[in-house]
Amino acid sequence: MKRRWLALVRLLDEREAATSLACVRLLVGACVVVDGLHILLRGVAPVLWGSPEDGGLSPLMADDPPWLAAAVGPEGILALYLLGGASLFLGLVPRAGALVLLLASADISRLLAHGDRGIDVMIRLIALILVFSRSGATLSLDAKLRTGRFRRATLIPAWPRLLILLQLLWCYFSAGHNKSGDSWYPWGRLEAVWNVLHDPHFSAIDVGQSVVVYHLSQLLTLGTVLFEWTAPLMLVALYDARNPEGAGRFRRALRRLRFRWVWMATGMTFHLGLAATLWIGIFPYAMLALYPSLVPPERLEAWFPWLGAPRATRAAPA
Amino acid sequence: MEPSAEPPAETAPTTPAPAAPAPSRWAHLRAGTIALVVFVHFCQGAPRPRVNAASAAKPAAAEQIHAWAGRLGMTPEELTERLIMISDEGDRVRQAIAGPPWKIFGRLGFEQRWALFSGSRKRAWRMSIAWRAPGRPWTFAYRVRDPEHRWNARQLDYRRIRGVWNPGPDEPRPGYGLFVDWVARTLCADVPEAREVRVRHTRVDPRPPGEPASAQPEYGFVEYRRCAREATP
Repeated sequence: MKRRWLALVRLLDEREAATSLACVRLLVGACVVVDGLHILLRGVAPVLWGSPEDGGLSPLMADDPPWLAAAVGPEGILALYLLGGASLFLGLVPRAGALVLLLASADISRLLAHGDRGIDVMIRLIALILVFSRSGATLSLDAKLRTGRFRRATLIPAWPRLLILLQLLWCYFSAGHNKSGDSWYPWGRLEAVWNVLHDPHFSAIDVGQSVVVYHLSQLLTLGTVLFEWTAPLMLVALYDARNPEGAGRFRRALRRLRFRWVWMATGMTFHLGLAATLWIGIFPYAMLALYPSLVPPERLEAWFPWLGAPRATRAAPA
Repeated sequence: MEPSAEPPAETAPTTPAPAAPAPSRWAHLRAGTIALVVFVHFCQGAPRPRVNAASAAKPAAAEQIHAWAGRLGMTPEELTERLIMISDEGDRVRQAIAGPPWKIFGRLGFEQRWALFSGSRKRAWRMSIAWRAPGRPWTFAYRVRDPEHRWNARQLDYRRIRGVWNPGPDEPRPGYGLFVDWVARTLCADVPEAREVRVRHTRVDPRPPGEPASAQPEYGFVEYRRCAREATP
């Protein structure tokens, strides 16, 4: 027990390059900014968060508004939401920006509970982690202002990235075991994806009544459930990538299957598919924004060298 | 590409070597705090049925309970009773373990029970908004996925607004009445001849290829509002 506790303490005490976490910060910030601009350009802030007397949909704003919303009103809440997102995107005081985003989004969730979607919950959870992280260490205006360069070879605590990774995997696994409808399973003829594609409130394409598409949708339904239920195996695969020695049969099998990359590619395809076929706002993009957390920074920099610090600025290895 | 046999270990640049010094007290404290927070979040999101007598009686849930009771060789009543018992017990344990800290996380709008298209409804609807002048037929102003009727689509299509008008499995969302009030107010202001506004959902259930569509249209969540106009002299 003591050995395992020490291993956990050491894991959460590790430091790594900031690239992966900075990518998450930047991409989540971009999604929030896009969402905030949608609200601004569509003029829906007073509708969503205004009191019914002012033509809005939020009784709470009239009866017992959350303190921040009471202080700044619907437009002010939108301004804070945008400010928080922009701060994360630009990497300008991102810790403060994450806190502002978290508080504004928390008030938004209370003002109109049914307007708050799962992805908004996810963004708040990530914002809380970013409050305690050094996500602005690279790929940020903060880095530029401090060192004259956007990209810095600096080491930061690894635990915020690991927590985001854990949160992402839990989200999928939880979504898998909460799939209660028969249509997700063979005894419900695996019709879930077909049903969603034929729901006018969500579907963005007309797939008609094609038998081929019907059978393809059944495969996609099965694939979705398998993808979500196998999310915990990513933890095993990630552990195996860090500790390749002494792997048993199961870990070796995952390695042979290249499980880690296959699972990630499936997830990315899944979200790009959702973005192309369903009308679900920022959900697919904001989920994809968390994927850099699944890739260790040195691997990410190997794939995309332009994300890493310029060679001349890297510290010599100890 | 990752070699399958003996891949190099993916370790952080400064991952301690075998002779690493013992972690500091701060490292222990941080690990303890993170472990506690993760545990509390896990307790909140741990799989468990959340059923009470009212929710079990709703048509979508009742349909599921009926199907599962058959598979498990029980009566629907027995299964409902057992589910409610497990649900209550689960809630009690969760409340005892994670209740107090979750008060803080709950205020931040956190949730760890993710239900993404969990039900994937066999019952689908298509929302429409229409108006009429006295003695005239209804005229569509907005209809979901209808390029001909796009009144105020800029606002109505936004995902957070849709969250209010898109119904749950069995009933409209709590803010639906206020939504209809807002729609009526805005539409009456935009269309001077409108005297009455209707918001309703038409059943458009998905059906597998070859299965005939229902001949009779079915409507739900129908709401009417009169335009509040000044009496003309």
